[in-house]
This record gives sequence, C-alpha cells and structure tokens, in this order.
Amino acid sequence: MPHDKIDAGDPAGRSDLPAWRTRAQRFETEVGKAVIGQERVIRLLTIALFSRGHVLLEGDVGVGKTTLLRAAARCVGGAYERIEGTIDLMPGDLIYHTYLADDGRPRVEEGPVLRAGENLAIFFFNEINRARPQVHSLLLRLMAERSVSAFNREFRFPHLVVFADRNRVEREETFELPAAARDRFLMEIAINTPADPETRRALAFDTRFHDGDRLIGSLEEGILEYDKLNDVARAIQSEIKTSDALERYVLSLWQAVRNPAEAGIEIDGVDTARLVAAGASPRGLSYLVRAARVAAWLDGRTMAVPEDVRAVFFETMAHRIFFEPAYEMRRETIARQLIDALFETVPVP
Amino acid sequence: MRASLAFLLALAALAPSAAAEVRSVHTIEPRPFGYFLGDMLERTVEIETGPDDEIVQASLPRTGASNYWLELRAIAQSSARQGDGRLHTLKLTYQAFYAPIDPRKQTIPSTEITIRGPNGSETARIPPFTFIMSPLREIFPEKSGETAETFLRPDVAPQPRRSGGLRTGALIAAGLSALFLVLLARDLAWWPFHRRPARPFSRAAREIGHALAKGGADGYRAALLALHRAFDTAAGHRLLAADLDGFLTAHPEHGDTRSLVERFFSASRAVFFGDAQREGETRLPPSELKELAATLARQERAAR
Repeated sequence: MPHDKIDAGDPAGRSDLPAWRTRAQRFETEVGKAVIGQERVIRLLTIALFSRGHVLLEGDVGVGKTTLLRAAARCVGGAYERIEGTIDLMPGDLIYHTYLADDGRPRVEEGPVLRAGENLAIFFFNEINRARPQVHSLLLRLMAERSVSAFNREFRFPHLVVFADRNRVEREETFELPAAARDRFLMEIAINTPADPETRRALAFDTRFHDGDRLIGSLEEGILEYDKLNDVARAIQSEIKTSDALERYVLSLWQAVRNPAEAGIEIDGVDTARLVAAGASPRGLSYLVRAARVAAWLDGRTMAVPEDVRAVFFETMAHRIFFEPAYEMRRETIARQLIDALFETVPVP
Repeated sequence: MRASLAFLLALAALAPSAAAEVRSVHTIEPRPFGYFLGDMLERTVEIETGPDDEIVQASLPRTGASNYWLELRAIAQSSARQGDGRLHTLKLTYQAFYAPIDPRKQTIPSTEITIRGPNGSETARIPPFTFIMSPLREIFPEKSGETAETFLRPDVAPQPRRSGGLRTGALIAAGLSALFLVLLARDLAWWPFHRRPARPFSRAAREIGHALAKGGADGYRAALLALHRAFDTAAGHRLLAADLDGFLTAHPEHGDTRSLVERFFSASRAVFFGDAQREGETRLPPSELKELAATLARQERAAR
C-alpha cells in the first residue's frame, strides 16, 4: 500500500500535537503574507502537508499558484527543487543532466530529483500538463512510492511532497494527466482570483507583491521541520478518532458518488444514472479520511466530524471522479453540482 | 287617665313583635275524587306573611317517599311581595301508589312549615287533604268471562316525536367537529398529515416522544436522529452544525432557541462522532431534547 511507504520514516515518537498545531497556524499566517485572499487554499495546502499528500494546483494564469507553492516550500524547509514542464522534457532530464566540462570531457550529474538526496522535501513541477506522458509516468512512481531507480540503484525520498500546477487556459501542446497520475494527488485545488475588492486593490497596487523573489525571501524559513512531518502525520492519524457514524457517513458518500441516481441526486440537464463512468477510488477514500482527520486536528478537535469531510471532499475527490464523455467537457460545473448535491442528500449522521 | 292609656298603647305599638307573622294559609286543592294508581296530584299552598318573613327551607317536606303509598315528587317554591306583606307559594306534586280494591278515602297528612321573621319564627300549618282513590280493574275478572289474554289491556302505541330539528343540529355539529378535527390534525401534523413537509418538527416531536419512551442509549440516538431529519427537511438539505447560522437566518422563527439548538448539535456530535456516548446526554438531557422539539414545533406552527 502506498501510504505504508509514506509512513515509513522515523519510528513513531510522541509528537506534541498541540504545539504542532500552533506551528501549523504560524505556517498558515506566514504563507498568508505572501498570498493574500486565499485562506481556504492555504488551509487545504496545510492539510495536504500534514496528510503527507501531493497537491496539484490549478487555475488561471497569474493568480499566484507558483508564488503560493514557493512560499509553502520555503516555510516547510528542507531541500526544494523545481522543474518546468515543457513539451521536450524527458524523464531523464529529471534524473540527470549531461554536459561538457571545462576540461572538455563529458560529465553526467544528478538532475533535480536526485540532487538533494533524501532531504528532498518539496518537488515542484511547474506546468505539469506541458510535459509528456513519459515524464508523467516517472512522476507516478515518484509520487506513489517516493523512490526512483537510477544509476543502477534505488533512491528514496521519505520526506518528499510533490507540488504541481497546471493552468487551465490553454489546451494546445499540453498532455492531459492520465487518470492514474491524477489519482495519486491527494488534492487538486482550484485557485481563483480573489473576489474581495480590498484584496484585489492590494494585489494590484501594493509594491510588496511586485517582486516575487523578495516576497518569498521575506518569509520565515522552515517553520515546519520537514523531517518531522511524517511522525506528526502519523500521530495525527492515530490520535484523531473517527466514529462508526462517521465511517458510515463516508461510506454512504462514497456509494452515492459512484451511483448518484440511486442516492436520489438530480442535477439539471444531467442524467445522473449515466453520469459517473468510474472513479472515487479506494485510495481516494483513504486520502479523504486522512485529510478529514487533519482538518479536525487543525480545528482543535479530537474527533473528525462531517464538516471536516465536507471541507476537504471536493479537493480530494472531485479529480478522481470520471464522467461519461458526454459530460466530461463540462466537468468543472458538473463536479461542483454533484458534490454539492451529494452533501445535500446523504443523511448525517 | 286617657292620656296614660294612649301612652301605653303607643308603647305596645313600638315594642318589637315577638315572632314572624303568618297572616293566612290558603290551599288550592285538586279535585278530591277520581284518582287511580300512579296518578299525580298537585296542591298549591299560598302563605301570606309579614314583608320580611321567609320560609325555613329545612322545614319543607322532603321529596321522596312520604309513606308506603305516597310519594312527594317535586316541590316548587316562589315568593313575591303582596301589598304590605309577602306571598309565598308552594307547589307540591304528589303521586299516589295506593292500589284500592274499592273506592277508598286517602289522606295526605298535614305538614307544618316554619316561617322565620327578623325577630323569631312561627309555624304555618298546611292542612291535610283527603281524596278518593278508585280501583283500576275488576277484583274477580274471571267471573265476567275474562281470560288472561283479554284481561290485559294492549300496550299504548308509542307516539312518534318530532326530532327533525335536533337531528339537523346534531348533523351540523358533527360535520363542524369533523372539519375542525381535520384542520387541527393538519395544524398539528397528525395522521394523515404526519408526513406534511411543512411540519417536520411536529413530526419529529412525536417521534422523539416514542424514541425516548423506549429509553436507553439507542432511544436517545434515535431521538437525535429524528430531530436531525427534521432540521434537514426544514432546511431543504442536510444540515450540519456549521450550517446553523445560515439556517437560522433563513428561518428567523427559530432564532429564540439558538442556544438550545447549538447544544443539540454539540450533543449530537458527542454522541455520534465523539467517543463518549454519555457525554451527549449530559449536554442535552432527554427531557430538554423533548422540550426543544416541542418548542421548535410550536415556532414552526406559529410562523405559518
């Protein structure tokens, strides 16, 4: 199971969860200095970090996806590598790069993935949909198993979290992520331009936001110690309780999302009996529960409640639901309607 | 001499009279003959007294059996001013049950009635009344050739009574009662309106009553669930604790119970999602849960 490997870090120590919660709040505040008006996205990102899950950000051009991920990377600490997705990027480019040295002899050096070794905390893949499927499949292994085979041996990255972003404006020269790759992301978070006029004014006129590098550089570094996060995540998963009623609730949500018509869900202009082709994988469900536990912990509770499930459901599940081709083109609106209807229909508790 | 006599007379006139003043007793009697077994006879007694005198109720003859053949059925009493005195009228209704074998004289015995005045009392005597009762039948009917069949008179044919007005009234009243019952049932969401969508809390209040009557942790859980379903129906979607503000904005009629509703959600959270089952019942005891449902039902009815 993939998450066994996620948990394969230091032996479980007693983590001081209340202190870590304060630290998580500090992390949110600090990231919030760089990216304003995105409190919910920052909260989701924090949940993903403490669930040890990978995140795919999606949004228009220039809404701060890259800034957000860079800010988060700085506040998490640890080694940070990034790569830009391009159409000619090949898997090898992630592993090594070759060049002629000053002495005229060819050299082979480790690429961005291997360079930091085990300390790699965040790997940031920019514009992931511009890379070819070959690259996606390497990424698949990196995300699922947190390891890569290269130079005849296996490299392991126990603290690795992959952040990726993707703009949804263009479709030319892009490769849609395969379902298997999308399923390995814990969350797919959509970022929109802030609607609040005051935030918009600040983004446009506040000089602080003009220079991205200085903005990121001004943030406190390494608030979350990247090499402790695995232990904390494990502690959270064992400390936060999920009751029988919550388990039943999550299972009925699952049942309803796979078979919306049977659950009595109706969406305008959609035949719900023929809407969902596949999806909502068991891995997705386990991610959902993990994220819900972290959300409960961040809210200062010792038990997960339906609100926590609802808070993370769209981001953890929507990208795992695959619609029939007739509806796939309208996926964003339909997925939102489906999940809204889901929470309006499935009884709690 | 003459002057002293006049003084004495004046003294005597001024002195208070010793007792009530019964001026006359007059009876108006029915005919004194021609009575059969079971006949009624009504006597009227008029007693003229001083203006402030009145009859002592305890001295009136009691209704019921006076002796083995006579019964006093009713006694009606009235009094009115007459001239400078007062006229008391008593209507005494007797029924005679004597079965004579030949015409025979019977006597209703005399009675004494006490009249109380401002300074004492006096008795008025109602005189006896004598009348003749006759037999109803032959003593030896066999002698005139009668048999048991011919001897017995046929029963009196029943007289139909007009009941049309009463029946119409009863039918109208029954119809109105049924209509009001239907309206009341609709308002309180009784059967068959128990699934009325506009009355989810009325329904929940009833279900909670049943669930709590069962008692135990299961009963309490069922009661919480019933109220959750009512909130869901009222909100039009599944209502979580976090959605409470929105719900109360949309349904201001329940605003007064906010604190209790919040306690309900916190108790439900403890019961269903916490690990302490009992904690819920201490946060919101069953009696308060029942009361909350009743209050919500009342607010719901008042709002529409």
